[in-house]
Amino acid sequence: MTSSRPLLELRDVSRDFYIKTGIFSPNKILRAVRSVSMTIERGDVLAIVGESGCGKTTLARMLMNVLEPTSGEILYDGRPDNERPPEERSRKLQAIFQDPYSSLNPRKTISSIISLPLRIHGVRDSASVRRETLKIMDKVGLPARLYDNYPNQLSGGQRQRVAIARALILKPEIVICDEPTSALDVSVQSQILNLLMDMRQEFNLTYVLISHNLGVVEHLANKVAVMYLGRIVEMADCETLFADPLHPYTQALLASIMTPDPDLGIPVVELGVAFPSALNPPDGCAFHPRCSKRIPICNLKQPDIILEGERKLECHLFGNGQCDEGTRSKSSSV
Amino acid sequence: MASSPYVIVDELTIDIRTANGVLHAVSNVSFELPQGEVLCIVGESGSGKSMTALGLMGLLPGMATRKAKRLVVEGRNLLAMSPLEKSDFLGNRMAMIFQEPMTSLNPCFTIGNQMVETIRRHRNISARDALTQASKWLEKVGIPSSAGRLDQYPHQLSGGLRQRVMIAMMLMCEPKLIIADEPTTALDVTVQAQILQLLSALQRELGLTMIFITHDLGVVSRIADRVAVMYAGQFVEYGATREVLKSAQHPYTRGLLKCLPVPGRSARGAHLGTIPGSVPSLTGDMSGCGFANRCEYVAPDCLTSTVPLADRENEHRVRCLFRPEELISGRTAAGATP
Repeated sequence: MTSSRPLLELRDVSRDFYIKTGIFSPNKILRAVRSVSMTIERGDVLAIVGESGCGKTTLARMLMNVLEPTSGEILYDGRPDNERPPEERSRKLQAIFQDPYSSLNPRKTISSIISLPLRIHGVRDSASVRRETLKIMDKVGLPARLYDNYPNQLSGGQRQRVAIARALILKPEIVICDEPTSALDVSVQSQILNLLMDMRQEFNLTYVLISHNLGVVEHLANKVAVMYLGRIVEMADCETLFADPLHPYTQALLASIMTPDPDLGIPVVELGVAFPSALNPPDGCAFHPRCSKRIPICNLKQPDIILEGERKLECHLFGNGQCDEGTRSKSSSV
Repeated sequence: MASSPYVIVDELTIDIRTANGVLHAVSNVSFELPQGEVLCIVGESGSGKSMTALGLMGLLPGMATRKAKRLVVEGRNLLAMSPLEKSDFLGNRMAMIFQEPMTSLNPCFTIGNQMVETIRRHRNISARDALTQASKWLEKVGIPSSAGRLDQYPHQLSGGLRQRVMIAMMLMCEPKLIIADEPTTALDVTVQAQILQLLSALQRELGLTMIFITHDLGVVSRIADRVAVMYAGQFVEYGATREVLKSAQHPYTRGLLKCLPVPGRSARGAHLGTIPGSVPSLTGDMSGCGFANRCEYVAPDCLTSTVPLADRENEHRVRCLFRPEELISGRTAAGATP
């Protein structure tokens, strides 16, 4: 029974922030995430991509229960999140953050950083804490001699390994990785990506991967959700999305990937320079001011969600059988 | 004049005094760049690429010392310039653009204010003319309705727009040499592509010579005429972009290219290549090849002898004792012959 339920389910989840604009002026509402619904199955690696300010980190923070949704609900294993004690959830759900320089307490030793979740969750016996800590350190490739070291003695890659060890020591089911490699150098990034893939196999993990590096996403994920101004505008399995992006924003994102290939020029991205504000999102489709393929209806009406099997799309170009072949063929040539 | 290179850097060395001794941030970097070409310096953090740029501009922090045989730009010797000559030259004939546009713009002044200040430092023109110039350049870098923009403060602009403003500000005095230190790293991928497109178009239109610093091999491949791969303060590989990326010879460059997940090329979910270990300490005396401790092809000679940046065919220079076909992994300490 449990296995048929999705591990995480989001139902119309929104999050607003109230921004003070002055003593006498009314507060403004920043709608960071606007009714997002999706399911995450066991074993998935779901990547959330989008530009900065599109709400992907807010979404991740809601999944971690650091932020409460303003409306909508998040079901964990079929049960609403707030019905269960926080300890139970943190045993199942852990996070890895972007910057291993700020996510580790500089005054604690590596061993106490890694073992803290264990001690919070009631393992008091110091011998077994030590044993478990050394075991997980070995798994993530940290030498045992670093046990009593402090984070400032470690390199960036080693610090990120500490963060991974801390996340995995409770044997969680799902790990939220918020830009796990963007603070790292290329050669270290590949080590961490390999480690994340190994750990997924070993512990049967489900990942939610927030990233703006599409190369990393393509390599790791099996499902991709593209976010734009608080909405998921396209969601599909990774191969389909990379082979045939439908939403004009997804097309622009994928077009801007630069592989190290001297035969290709700098990609032409057909997006305007105007940048939308989440405080004042455009009417209709939020993307229409920058969209090169907009049609009259785009600034009038929020597009409906189109479901096509596993694929989810929000774009007027494809609604009601308007899916014109011209756009499709153009997209595949990008 | 036209035939001699526009930029000549000869044995540029930058040392930094630290509490633990002297740190060799940049060792013996030499290159020549003809007018109108783009050189990309690529490397990981701490490889000395930004220090090279700052050293060229003479903007090094106080505890750093710069030594060089020659530093020539536009036929002028940068080493022999007085401070006044230098401040006339910098910003005017050669200009620099930095990574984070928010920290390089002053938050207390409007865009227009800052742009006018730049141009009036170098040109004797009225404030009104300077504002007209500023709005002309903003349009040139693709910022529409530029007259209104001039009254805005940096925080009112998005990251991409700020970087465009920086580019406009840098180009206002029409410098001929541009040093760009990771100008797109802080930006989103779509904006990055737009900014690169803009920089590259302006570079061609105005015939600019550009030194472009980045850690992203993807960016390098699309914008550079020549590439220098930097590791531990040294150029380890130098040559035409196509040469270096298509037939990389140094084990470090080859390793870097294998580390990258490339959509459509690297098998999804498969293990990526790695470069084990980490960058060596640059403090104290260094002997042998800087990459030896991470190199899978290391031989005894690598640890002891100084490795020169050797010329190979097609103006390709590589700092390695061996040619790629001579690289044997797991060489034993005893029987190593090149």
